[in-house]
Amino acid sequence: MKKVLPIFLGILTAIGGFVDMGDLVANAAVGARFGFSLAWVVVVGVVGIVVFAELSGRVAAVSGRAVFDLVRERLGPVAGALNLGASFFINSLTLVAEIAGVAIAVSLVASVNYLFLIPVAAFLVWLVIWRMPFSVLEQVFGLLGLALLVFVVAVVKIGPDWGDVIHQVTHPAVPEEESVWTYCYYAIALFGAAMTPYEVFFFSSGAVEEHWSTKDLAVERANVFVGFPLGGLLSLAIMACAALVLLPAGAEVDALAQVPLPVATAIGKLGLAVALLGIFAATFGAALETALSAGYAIAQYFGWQWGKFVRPRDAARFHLVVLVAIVGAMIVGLAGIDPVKVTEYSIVLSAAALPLTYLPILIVANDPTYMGERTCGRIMNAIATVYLVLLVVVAVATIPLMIVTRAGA
Amino acid sequence: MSATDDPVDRSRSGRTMDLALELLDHQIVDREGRLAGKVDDVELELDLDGSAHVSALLSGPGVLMERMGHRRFGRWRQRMERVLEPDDDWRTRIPLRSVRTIESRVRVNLDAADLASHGTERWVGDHAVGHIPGARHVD
Repeated sequence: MKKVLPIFLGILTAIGGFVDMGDLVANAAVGARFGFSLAWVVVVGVVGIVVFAELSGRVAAVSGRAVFDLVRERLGPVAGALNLGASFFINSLTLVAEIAGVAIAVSLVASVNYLFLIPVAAFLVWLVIWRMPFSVLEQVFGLLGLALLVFVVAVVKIGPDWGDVIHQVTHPAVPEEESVWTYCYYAIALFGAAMTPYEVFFFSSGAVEEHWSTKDLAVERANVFVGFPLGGLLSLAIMACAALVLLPAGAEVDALAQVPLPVATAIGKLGLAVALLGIFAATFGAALETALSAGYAIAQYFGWQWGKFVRPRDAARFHLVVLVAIVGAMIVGLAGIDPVKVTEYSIVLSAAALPLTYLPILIVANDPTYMGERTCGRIMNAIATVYLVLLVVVAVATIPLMIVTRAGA
Repeated sequence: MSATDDPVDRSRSGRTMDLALELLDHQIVDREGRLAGKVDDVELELDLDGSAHVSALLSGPGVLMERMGHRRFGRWRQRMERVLEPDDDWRTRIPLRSVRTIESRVRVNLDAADLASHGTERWVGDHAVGHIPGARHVD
């Protein structure tokens, strides 16, 4: 295993960002409603998350500091607390959806009402965090999540007219039956999903868990440049499957069960089984990512000992936060709230909080006190600045769009 | 730094720094490398000539609340800490002589267990997390 490049942290992080419970459904829903006309947003999102994940990973490797450390140091306690509150709320909503997602994925096979499976899913998520070493955790769920590549296989098997697809992607047009505002709303949802803040919380904290140092910068970069584009590819493949199979059939997607249907038609039962395995792993991985991120964010804000690299007894408050987050998510999930709606809201709301997370990363990446000679280069700075402006625009537009479109209805 | 009896590295003393950027809200690391809270506030001393210097770092939940504007709650919280742990020698105040280095992290010559931030850690460890099987295993 030593010879294999350890890039599973990047893969798992990206799976949690691009193809978790909400995104699985959102990608398929967008494909079924808008065809390929929103695919460009995923590409824009991939570039953005690559830039900021690289910066946060580099800061973590060089200075040993994870993102929420920086948030508190650069924004101060009050604005930092505001960001903490918003991030924790979004994170908790996402965790609700992921735990329900794991339960639904299993219920598709087990023919049991998913509500019965929620406590089991919640317990397993906690148990994995409690007992499984971090490196094993990222390898197992990163690797299993790759089963979602079956969606790529399905697209190839369906064999669309590639010239036509490329034309649709490069010449995006709002479909006749959709309004411009709904189009913009879903664009923001996809962009927000690509850049969800818990990705950088998890990635940078994972870098510290893995004891990355300046020597590991090549590994860090490999994680970023393989992991996130791969996440984007999976997201596009799911969208493409829906655009090629469900859109012509006039089917709409509003539940997880409909997401793997195109794979079933293209590849058959085996494909369906692999897709379900991938969906299970992706939602489970995202549950781990969000539950841990809840602990990381709060512990780093207060300066508590955190991480799986010490005995749980020595990071007691961190583990308590994780446990409380999971139990809380389980209870809300058991109330029968629609997990798809929950993530849709959480993704869009997270867009409103994004600048508060990404600005401190960019500032610190340019600070020689932290970075020594490895401060951010000029090109990265330019791209990151452009994205910050974009994030502010998106943050301002989010809530009005949500109201105007009645959340994309 | 004016306190001449402090065994402070003289090369570091007298260093001028932007408190808000370089000291406040930074991570405190104890002598074993454990994370031990944040620099929630600093104690300043005024010289006769009117110049100010940092005499101690302050850390702990009560200090943080006080700095964030919740004065009453913060003071009450600090008082409760003293009442609940009467024989405590945990500190919210870290004198500058206990500070080893100030970089992006602040390293101190103390144990995390001696600092106020550790109070809730110990409580949670003793009463909740410590009881779960496997709490002492290492990955």
